[in-house]
Order: sequence, then C-alpha cells, then structure tokens
Amino acid sequence: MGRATIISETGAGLYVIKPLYNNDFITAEITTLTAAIVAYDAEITTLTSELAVIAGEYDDIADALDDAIDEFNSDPVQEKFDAMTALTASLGSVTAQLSNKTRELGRAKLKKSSATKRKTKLENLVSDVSNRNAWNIAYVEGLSGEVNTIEINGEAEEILIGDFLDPSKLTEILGQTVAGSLYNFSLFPYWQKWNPTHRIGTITALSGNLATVSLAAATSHYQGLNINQASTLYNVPIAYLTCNEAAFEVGDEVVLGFTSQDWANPVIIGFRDNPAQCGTGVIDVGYSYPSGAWGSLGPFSWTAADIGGSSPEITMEHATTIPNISTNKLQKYRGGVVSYSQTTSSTLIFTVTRTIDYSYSGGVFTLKFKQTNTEASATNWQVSVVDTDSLNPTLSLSGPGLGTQYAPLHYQYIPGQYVNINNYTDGRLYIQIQCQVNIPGGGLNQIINYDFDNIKEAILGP
Amino acid sequence: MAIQDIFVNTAYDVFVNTSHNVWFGAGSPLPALTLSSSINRLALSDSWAARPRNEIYTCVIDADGFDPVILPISSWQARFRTDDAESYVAVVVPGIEYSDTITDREDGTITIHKGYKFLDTNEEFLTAIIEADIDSISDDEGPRSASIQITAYTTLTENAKNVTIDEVHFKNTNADGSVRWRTSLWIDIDTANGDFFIKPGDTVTYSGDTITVDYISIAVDVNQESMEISST
Repeated sequence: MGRATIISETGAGLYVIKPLYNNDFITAEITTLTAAIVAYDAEITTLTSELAVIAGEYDDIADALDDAIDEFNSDPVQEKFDAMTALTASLGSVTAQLSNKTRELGRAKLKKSSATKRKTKLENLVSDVSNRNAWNIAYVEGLSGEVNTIEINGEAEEILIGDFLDPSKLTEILGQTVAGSLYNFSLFPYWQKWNPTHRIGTITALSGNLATVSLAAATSHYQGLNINQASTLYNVPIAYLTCNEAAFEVGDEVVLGFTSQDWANPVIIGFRDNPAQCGTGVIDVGYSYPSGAWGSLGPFSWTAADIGGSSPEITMEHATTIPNISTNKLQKYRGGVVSYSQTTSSTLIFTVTRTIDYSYSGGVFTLKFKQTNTEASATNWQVSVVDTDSLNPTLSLSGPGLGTQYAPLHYQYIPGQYVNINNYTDGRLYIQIQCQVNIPGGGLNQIINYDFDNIKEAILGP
Repeated sequence: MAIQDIFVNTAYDVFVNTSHNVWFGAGSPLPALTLSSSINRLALSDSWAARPRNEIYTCVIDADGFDPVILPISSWQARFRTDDAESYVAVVVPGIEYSDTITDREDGTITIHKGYKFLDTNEEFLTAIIEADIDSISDDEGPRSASIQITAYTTLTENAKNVTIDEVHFKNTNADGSVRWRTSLWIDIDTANGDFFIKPGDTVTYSGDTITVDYISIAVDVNQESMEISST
C-alpha cells in the first residue's frame, strides 16, 4: 500500500528502507508558517520600536511631572496646579498606551512562538522519518530505488517490502487537514476490519496450494479494536514467486493479502521474515550401452515448485515421470540433519535403493550416500564426483563404498556401502553412479547422474 | 535546577484549587517567581492526614539557560497513557503578562505538581504529577480577557505499583469489560519512594475491586477537579 526508498541491501530479502510519506500538506504549511514568522518578526521589531518611543514619552512626561510637582510645591498657584494636572493626565494616557503596546508585543511574540513551534514540529516530522530494516515478503534480491511496501494491518508499525494492492503513501496525521484527519480517524478501524489489506498468520495445515492459517491477533491503534473478522482462515491459496506452496511449510509465519480488500479473498503472498527461496537444480539421469550409445532420460531441471514434504524431511519431487526412476525425491530442509532415501525401480532392468544422508555443522557438509543393487547381474560399479564450481578445493571421498581409485574423486564403487563426500562447503556437485547390467540381448550400462546445485541453500535455506 | 519529585518550598506563593475548602490563585497574576534553591524534604508523619491543609497545584516552566518559573494557571488537563503512547498535558495561563516568560522557554518543559499546604506550619508538600516537553503555545483573546495555552507531551515510563484508594464517585463497566472509575486526584503521602501519584500500569484497588490502569484523564480548574482511571 505504501512506498519506500531502498537505502541498502543486507541480503536474502532483508533491506534497509526509508518509508516515503506524502508531505504535500506539511510542505505547504511550512511555507505558510515561514512567511508568518517573517511577518511576526517584522511586527515585533516595529512594536519594540514603538514601545521604546512610548517609553521615552513616558519618561519625559514623568520627569516633567516631577518638575511640575516641585514647582507647584514651591509656588502653589492655580496655573502650576493646572500644569501638574495636565501632565498627570498625559502620564495616564501614555501609561495606557504603554500597557496596550506591551500587550500587543506580547501577543506578537506568542504568535511567533506558536508559529515557530508548529513549524519545528512539522519539519521534525519530515526529517524524523528514519531508516528501518524491512524484509521483503518474497526472496527477491537486488532491489533498488523506490519500492512498494506492505503495512501489516494497515498500520505503519510493521512495514514489509511487497507488492499486492495499489500503492499509495503514508501520511502523518499532522500532514492532513483537520477534517481529513478526523475523517480518517473515524473510519480507520472500520476499513481495517471490513476492507482489510494485510495480515500476519501462521500456517497450521497445507493441502496442495491451499492452506489453513491461524491469524495473529490484530487490533487498531485507534481504540484498540479487534480488526480480525475471524481467527482462522481456511483454504487460503498461495501465490508466491514461481513456486507457490512449495516454498511453505506448516508453522511458517506468513503474510496474507486480501484481494480487492475483501475478507473472503485472502491469499498467502509471502513470509513475515526470512523468505524462502524458490530453489533450482538438475538431476540428470541417463544410460548408455557398452557400444557408447547414450539413452538420455534427462536432464530434469527442478525448481522449488517441485518441492514438497515437511520438516525435518525435505522432498523434491519432479512432476515428470522418469522411466527408470519411479520416485525422485530430494528433501527440502532448513536446518538440522536430514536423511534422504530414494527407491528407483525399473521393471525392465533392476531395482536399486539409494540412500543419501546429509549432515552439516558450521559450514562444512558431509554428504553420505550408498546404492544397493538387487539385480545380481549388475557389475562394474563406479562412482565419481565433480566439483563443478571449484568451490571445494579440499573435497575428497572416503568410506567403505570405495574400491580402486581410477582418478581423483573417481573410484570403483562397492554396492551397499556408504561413500562419504568430505569437506563440501558450497557450490554445485555432480555425482555420478554407474553400473553395467547384463540383460537378454546385450549388456546395458545404467548411469545415474546427480547434479545438485546449491545443496547448501536447498538444505539450509539461503 | 531539577524539579524534585517531592519537596517542601515556602519561598513562593502558589495557586491552589478552591474545591475542597481550598483557594486557587491570588486574584491578579503573580509576578514570575523563581523556585527556591533550598529544597527540604518534608518529614512524613502519621499525623499528616489530620493536619489542616489546602490542596495546591503548581505549574513550573523551565528551559535550558533560564531559571524555572512558576506560572499562574487557571486550569490544567492531562491524558496519561501507557509506555508506547504519548501522554499529554495542557495548562491555561490567564492574561498575557507572562508572554515573555513563556516564549523565552518555548523549547523547555512544564511540570505539574500537586500537594498540600499545611496551614499549621505553612509548609508545602508537592509531588510532580507529570513533566512534559512543550509542544505548542497559543494565545486566546476575548473582548475583556486573554489567556495563554501551553500544551506538552511526554512518554511516561511505567513503574507499576499497587495503590488503594478510598474515594470513587462513579464507576462504569462497558460491554467489552473495560472499566472506568472517576475519583479525585489521589495522593498518598505515606506511599514510599516518592512515587505518589497513580500512573498507567498501576494496580488500583477500591472497595475490594481491582483494576490495572492503562489510561488516565484529568481535568482541574478553580471550581472542580476530576480524574478518571480506566482499564481495558
């Protein structure tokens, strides 16, 4: 609903922003007040001068009166009495002028003070808008310039970066006309409740693209009124980047937007903080005959749209049916240790079971995998790992699953035994497991390549 | 000079409330008076409640570079809110004779005190109710009179305490369970540690009923004083 300027980017969807306010009214009033203060200064200068003149007259008359009194006392004649009386009357008149002018000067000073205080307050309102941290509701990096923002519950207290309803700008209550601010004050809790914008909630159940969301308590800062129409929303669709529900899990604290500000049309549009990334990767599966002919079954690119499951398990399920692999899972996970197992079957060839365990401690992974063959005729097992991005210079293989070493990171593989991939810290790994199967009509080499990009991100989150 | 929470000052005159057999002001505005630099604590005594006394209010305006001055006021109003919302106080100064005093201190604070002036010893017991930053100053002028209004805001820090009061004039309970009690501006001299006045966050008990205060509305003038405390 609002707008903000990106000041800096922390990363992973976290930014420092400066909210943008509609200051048109304030700017106009500051201009008016500035002119008024100049006018009051001029008035004060004039009144001070006039007051000095009157004070001078007062002193002159008072001195003359003192002299007249002395003269009358020394020579009490009617003429001198009249002179004394006239000066007394004049002094009274000047005293009244002095009093009136002093009050005028006092009023002018008060008006200037009032205008100055008001101007300072408005200027502070403009300059006091401070930078604040703000999460983007989605994992979007590289933002700059002006962006749209989301004010949770329609309040300025919690501002996130996101784009859902038509943008406007926050306006300070003193940046509105009195009538406008009163109108806004009167209707504020109403539209918060009956024309809702955004809420925070927690996913309590997920089924496909629909979620059940328990809403966080929401009250208007005017009168503390409850602005939720219900505490739980059911069958809430998810619209998130390119991967929708795949990015979410039960327990996630999410941001809801209400289409057309209609309570009946909520949509989960992102995360309150630490937004999940729509992951990407490739599993490349294929096979080749001893002649060298290659039968490609892939590569199969996957995105977070293919991710499902629930913590602590992570699943990456590709929608495409891979002929030799009936189930194709990589568990999506955001912390801790995860076990991953996969069963591959082929009615034509053989059945193998692969297990890959990931563990992670402080930046270094140990990836552990094994493959079990149930087809006795499978021979010539080999395993190789390629550090595609060259980000793991000390990468090594170990474990009982290794036989003869053919080359660095390329070994004979002993089925059913684990192989450890040591010292992995980041980047893309290409893992290839190969065996030869004798089937009627000729031998067949089955090669299964695992090409995992961003393993670290896929497992731990960004 | 810092305004103390509690002090006895006999060096200046004060404006007092005419309700409850007390008087408010000395008629025409007093000249600006500087607070005494000698502050003496009142020796609290079990017998204070029985001593003849007047209720008194003072408003002190202060700013860096200027001496604090007691302003003559004809009324004051306040709204006390909890920590996260600003509390408000406004005073009306009759006449415009104090315009220079006030405009000189326009970037300062005003502090409202309430207390008692003991008639037997002429001692005054005062406790600061609220000190707030001056927000606006305005003058109001009628055909025969004029006045200056000062408004100020501050954020009160909660220091929750338990207070038992023995006077409630009006009780209201709304459908949402919120409660409103109208009482007097209660000061318990016997309360320890100098925090004598009910503030938001306090637990207040009256006749066996207890509420936690989150909002206080105060209005005081020469004829009446009223304080409503409410809880949600």
